[in-house]
Amino acid sequence: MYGYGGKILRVNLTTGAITAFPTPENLARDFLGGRGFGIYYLYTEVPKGADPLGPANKLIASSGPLSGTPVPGAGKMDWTCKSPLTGGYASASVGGMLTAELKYAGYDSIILEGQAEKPVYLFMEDDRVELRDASHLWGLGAITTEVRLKQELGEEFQIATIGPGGENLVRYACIHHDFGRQAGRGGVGAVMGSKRLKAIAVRGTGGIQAADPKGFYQAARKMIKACKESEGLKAWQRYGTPMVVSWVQEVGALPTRNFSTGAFEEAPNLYGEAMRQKIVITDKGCFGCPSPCGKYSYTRRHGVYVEGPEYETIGMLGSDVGLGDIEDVAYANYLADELGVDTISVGGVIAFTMDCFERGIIGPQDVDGLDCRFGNREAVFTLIQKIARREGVGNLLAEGSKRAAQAWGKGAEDLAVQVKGMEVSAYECHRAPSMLLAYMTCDVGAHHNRAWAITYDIQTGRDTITPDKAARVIFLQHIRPLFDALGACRLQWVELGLDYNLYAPALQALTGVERSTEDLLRISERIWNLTRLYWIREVEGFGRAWDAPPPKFTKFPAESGPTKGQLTTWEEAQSLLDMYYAQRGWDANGFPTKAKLEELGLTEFAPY
Amino acid sequence: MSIYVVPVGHLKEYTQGQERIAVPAEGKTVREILEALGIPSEVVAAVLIRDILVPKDHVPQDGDEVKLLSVLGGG
Repeated sequence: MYGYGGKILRVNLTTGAITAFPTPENLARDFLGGRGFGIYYLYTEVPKGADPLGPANKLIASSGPLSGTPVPGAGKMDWTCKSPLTGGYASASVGGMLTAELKYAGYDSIILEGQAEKPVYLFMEDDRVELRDASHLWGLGAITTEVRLKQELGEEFQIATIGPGGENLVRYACIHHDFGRQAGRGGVGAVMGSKRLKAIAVRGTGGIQAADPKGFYQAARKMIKACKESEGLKAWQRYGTPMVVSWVQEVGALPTRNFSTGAFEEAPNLYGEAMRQKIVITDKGCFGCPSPCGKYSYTRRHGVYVEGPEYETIGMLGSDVGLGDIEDVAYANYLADELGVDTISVGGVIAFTMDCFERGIIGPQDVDGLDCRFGNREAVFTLIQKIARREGVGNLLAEGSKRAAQAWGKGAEDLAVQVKGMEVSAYECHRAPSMLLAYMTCDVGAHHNRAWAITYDIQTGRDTITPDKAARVIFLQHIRPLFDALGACRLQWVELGLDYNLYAPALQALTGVERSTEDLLRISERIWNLTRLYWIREVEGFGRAWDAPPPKFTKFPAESGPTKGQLTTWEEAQSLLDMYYAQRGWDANGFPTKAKLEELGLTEFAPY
Repeated sequence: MSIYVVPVGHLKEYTQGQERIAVPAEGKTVREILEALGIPSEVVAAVLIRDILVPKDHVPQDGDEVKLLSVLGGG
């Protein structure tokens, strides 16, 4: 099959059995790869009601057809499982080199199932695949583990690891790769830890066959040329995502003190140029990237290197917890990366804790004597470590803000800024209807990467609650995750203005399968609806109540800044949801209708 | 004394397609220049002079080329 690695690897960590089978052509046709393969195997192989941290859950790591090829940004890998944070669908994407290496080894996906008795790592060198003892690695940081394995096996191995966060089953533990990249959200690292799988090390020496090699190279060169000629390239390369911190501050969308407002008085210290001047030492990119957005930094105050911080971490471990010094944010980023916890969720959990502390819902006795006021960097650093190790209050906070709020009560539930149990990422949306709807309806919980809609609200007006906003969110929810199925980065389109219609002809030349952009978007819509079916099947009573907005945005007006006094009412949020469901072909409870399932070829999957 | 405003991508819609606009320097901030050109500040994500980000309260100097980037898609 042109364009693909060709095989799917199945690793049973309970029995040690390792088998491989050809990548099904109909799977590639209907689900493309990446997150498409992930949801297919999650839905069809993980039994209903499986414990996310038990042996029946599976962790599916997948490259996509474009991974490892010359198209720009061909370095994305998807990790899918049942989420220990939300109880529903988890899919986290990581950039780097591993996805290419997996394909060169001849594989498109790895299905990890069961649970090992003792810590192991998966060794893959083309067709030589083994489970090896990892007892000497267990307990080490995620980055330290990667360094150690590269020393043991060779620099050419590409490695994914978990840190203590994953080992200790922190519900938002992440999977780390390439000295500072993460598959961050939803607790995919905890699932890997529950299987006592410390790392995966891959070396591949094969290649990828294209149906039309000349045509594919021409298509890829055209895309790279367009990236190189982009007027925004130089700025993007210099700053990466921190470039937008000043804009987000200006429009009042920078999460500040647990989303109390959208503008942070110390934000200028976190702007792109300030960061570049103070801590950035070099740029860093993923496989095949013509526009490296990674910023590798060194903080003199704390004496550590870190990739980052990128925008989300600046928001969630900076302004949202009240830290206004980029060196402190960088150190918090380093701690989260080495310990293996998602910077977005850990920032959200700490911000929630600080909000409860400042409002008197909890006191020092509830947080091991820490002074958990906003802006206390020592509290931030200490809490990250306690959480990763499940020490003291860290044991409760490792469960996520929703569960911690339920434990504390006394109004804490209103302060947990989450949807479906996942902490909201770094866009404050007291009055940003499209972005709020994006968070409410995201298929993994409150994550922005599916639909980054804040600019639509800025451009069309924050006050309108109109069907076009739902339409915009739906479009973005199809085009953006399409990249996660293709195994390539979307940021060349998103940030450099690369025409996304260039991907379909490139994919056709690679695979030999004729598909238009519309065909690809239809596949993405199919994947989206299957993830919805997964939630319906797995979560008792799932429905529109699970698409509810966080009370922070409906009950607590923004305290200051450009959106001071604003919020979105519950009725407005419900109105947005009604428009969204109608346009999606879902019923009033958010269930895809039979007609929609038939249209997308999903009838056989319906749990109702 | 002039500075040169260079709107990138969609921002050219605000300048009737003009790619490089000479404006008198006059000690105005970037924010004031945007207002004078009818470009809403909120749609300008980044302002660069010699490829370095500058804040919108920066006062460009004579001869500066002020590149304006819109917010594309984010995240």
